[in-house]
Amino acid sequence: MRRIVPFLLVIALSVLASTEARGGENVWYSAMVPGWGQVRAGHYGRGGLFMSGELVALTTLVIADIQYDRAVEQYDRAKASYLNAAYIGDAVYEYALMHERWNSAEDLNGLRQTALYAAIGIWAVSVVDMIIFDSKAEPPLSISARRDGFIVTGSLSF
Amino acid sequence: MRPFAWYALGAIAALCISCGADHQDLPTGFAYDPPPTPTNLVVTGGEELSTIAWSYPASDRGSIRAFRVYEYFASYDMIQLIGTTTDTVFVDSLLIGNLGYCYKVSAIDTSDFEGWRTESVCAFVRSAR
Repeated sequence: MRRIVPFLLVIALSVLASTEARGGENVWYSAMVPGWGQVRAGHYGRGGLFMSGELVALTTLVIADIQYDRAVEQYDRAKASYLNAAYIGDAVYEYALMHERWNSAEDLNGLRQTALYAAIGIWAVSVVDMIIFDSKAEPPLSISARRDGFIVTGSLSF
Repeated sequence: MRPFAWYALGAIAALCISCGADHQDLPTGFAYDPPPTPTNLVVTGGEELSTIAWSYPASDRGSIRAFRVYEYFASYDMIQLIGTTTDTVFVDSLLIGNLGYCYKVSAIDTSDFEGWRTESVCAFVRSAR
């Protein structure tokens, strides 16, 4: 898991280098919210895809994380009951329950790691996509953040 | 703009670090070695009392501390501990007559760990009058 952190730093540094070299502000929007930069650049389909993908991945991550914590709590409880059992029937029951909860925690841990990798992957692809394909052309519709809200700008090209 | 992006990056990095697994120490193998279950449980109903007797291998007697005798309530699938003995006979007295009584017995080892209980055995208890 910690191998991801250097990877993220590399992406961040490339974002820094890219924006300093090219001045592409959209890259920063994509770094904040995957797909936002694409939307500002007028690539609505791609932007929407990144945004919805990131949303699904993060929602899955949060739900899996909550369920994982619950499964670990139940596992710890079953383990404590198993280790303190004074009757063989209770020990057998708690042993089976402990294994069941552990398997459940293992599955949920796998799910949340997958969701985390997916979220990071989508974020990184969105940023890299913006670094490589950020066009200077005026988008037909753009959304910008202001201190007091958002501004939506539309333009027509002939 | 840039601090916000760093904030987003920091949030993802924090997620990475917080996603460490907390369930690594699963005990391997079943740790308990229960004492053998008593056999040949016999319940004899008397006048307002029951005599409960069972067998236990002599070779295992040294590893157990006592036997537990339970009354079993079949209607509710519940048990109640009625006594502990080191002998292989137990008398349950002061019972109400004209009723059936069921019992289970188990052995407990020197570390107070209880082995499997026997299947229930029942007997009819007569009234004294």
